[in-house]
Amino acid sequence: MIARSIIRRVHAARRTISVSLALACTLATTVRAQTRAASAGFDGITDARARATLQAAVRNADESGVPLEPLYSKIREGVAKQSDPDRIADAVRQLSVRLTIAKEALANSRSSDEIAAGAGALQAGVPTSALRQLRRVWPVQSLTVPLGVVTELVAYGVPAAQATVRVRELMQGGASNAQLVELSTHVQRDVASGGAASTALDRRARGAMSILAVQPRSALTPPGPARFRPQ
Amino acid sequence: MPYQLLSAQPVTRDVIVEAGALDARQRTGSSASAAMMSALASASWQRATLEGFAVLVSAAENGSASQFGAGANLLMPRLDAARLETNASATLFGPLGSASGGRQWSAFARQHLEFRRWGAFAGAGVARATRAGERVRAHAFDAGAWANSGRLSVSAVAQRSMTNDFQLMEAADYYLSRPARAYHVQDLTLQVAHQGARFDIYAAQAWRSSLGATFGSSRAGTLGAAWHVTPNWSVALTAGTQLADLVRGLPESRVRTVSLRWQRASRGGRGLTIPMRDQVRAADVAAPSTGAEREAYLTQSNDAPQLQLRISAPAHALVEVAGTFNDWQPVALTFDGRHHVARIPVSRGPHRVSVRVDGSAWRVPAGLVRLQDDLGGESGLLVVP
Repeated sequence: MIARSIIRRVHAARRTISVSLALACTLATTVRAQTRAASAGFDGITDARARATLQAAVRNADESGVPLEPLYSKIREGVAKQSDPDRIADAVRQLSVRLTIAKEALANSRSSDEIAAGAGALQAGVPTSALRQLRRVWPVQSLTVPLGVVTELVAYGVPAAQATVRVRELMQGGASNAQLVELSTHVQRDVASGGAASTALDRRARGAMSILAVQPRSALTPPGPARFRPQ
Repeated sequence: MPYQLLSAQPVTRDVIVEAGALDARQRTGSSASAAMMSALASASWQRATLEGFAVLVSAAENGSASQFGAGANLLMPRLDAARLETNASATLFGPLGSASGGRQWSAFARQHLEFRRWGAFAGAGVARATRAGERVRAHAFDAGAWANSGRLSVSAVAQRSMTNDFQLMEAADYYLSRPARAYHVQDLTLQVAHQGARFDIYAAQAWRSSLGATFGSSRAGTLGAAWHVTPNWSVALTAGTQLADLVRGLPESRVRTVSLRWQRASRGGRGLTIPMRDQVRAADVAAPSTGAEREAYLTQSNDAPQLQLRISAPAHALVEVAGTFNDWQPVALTFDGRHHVARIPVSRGPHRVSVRVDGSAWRVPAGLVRLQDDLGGESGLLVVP
């Protein structure tokens, strides 16, 4: 009898410990989730339904393996702009889809910045094939800046295919990130001056290519197939 | 748009200065070591470039020479793939500034057809010289093609030349088998080059054979490399054999050269300004104006990129900026007496930026391109290299 009583007490104690441990884990998880949610801007979402929708979207994205920081950033943007909660939820869902597509197109990149830049390019109308093309040119080097430049060029009015081709050519020619960004800067100057975006890009890209392709040559060497083009 | 050859200021300028040493040995056994220096300056407009160059070679004996020349490249009207290349030079043989050893002038013109990955050209050159009391005439015709794939390029050139310069030809073991007015030869040159991020290398091989009354043959190979130490400085090495250049009057010889090259590209008007290699100069990177006063700039401070804002608003207004660079936490700008300003460090990559005044709707600062934000509005895009 005593033994059974002891055993019952031990089992009860174990159950209590188990329950306590479970509660503690749940609490810890809840605290971590709340911390992430707070930093993600969830606190700014007062609508419980919208908050639940957002949390579900974030969980789905997490399960898909896409980076979550861009989603949190979109939530914070929505809160800062005092957007409708349902609209924020829609924006997060759309972004999650683009992040998934971008991750796959960039050969399962692990860089959050790179994937976010790819998603930004997709939003601007750059096709998925463009992301794959750029990845093939720079399989290891980060595409964060080139993707940003392509996005910028498309936003200026350059057809996505043309923007992708020109940026890809410059990347193949050894252009640096700084040179790609400056190309985009000059295209916008030309557009602001009244020029057509696609014409401006072609002209500026040829100039960039000519400078990248300049061969050191002495005046005494026989003239060869020079690729120096006036700009 | 009417065809304009030159207009206003050049859009790009470039200066290249090279100094080095060469060692040349001819078949006759004579050899010379010399110091050389060359300078080239060019200016480019939208459809033309002009360049001038000078080369000085100074040897211990009477092997000195100085060469001066000018060249031009012209794009054909409405045909960007067609480029006309021209060049004229004068060479004085003898101590610097004198023509005690003779003088020569030469000129050539080439018509190029250039596309993205390949091109072709054909041209002709002519030369006249006075050397050791002899009047020398030479001319040449060439045609070739090139192709590139990524960093690799290949080219092939076929050339037919003639000259009556017996000193030049006999020094290269070429003779006339019967009375004739000139030596005739034909050449085939193949070149392969690779441009890397910091190293360029090339290899060329040429074969020369005789035509008509001319007797003799030769071949030459050259290897060259350039190391781009910094965006402006590079070291170049070449070694190999060069065939006698009938148009320029250069003898056939084994040549080794080493040189240090400095190159500068300066800014002009509204022209293309690509920074050298990976270097971005301070205060040169800025968001372009869209006609309205620019409100957002990208600047460099101690090699760290910064978003600089300058918003016109009443002194008492609360002007705020938010974006991906600060987790969309609105940050107030400070009033400097004229504008509301801020300097914010930004990391590499694309950033979204929005500003607002006195709690009004967020908007895109002037100077940045607009993109939809999926929230029914827009934000500006800033790409940081």
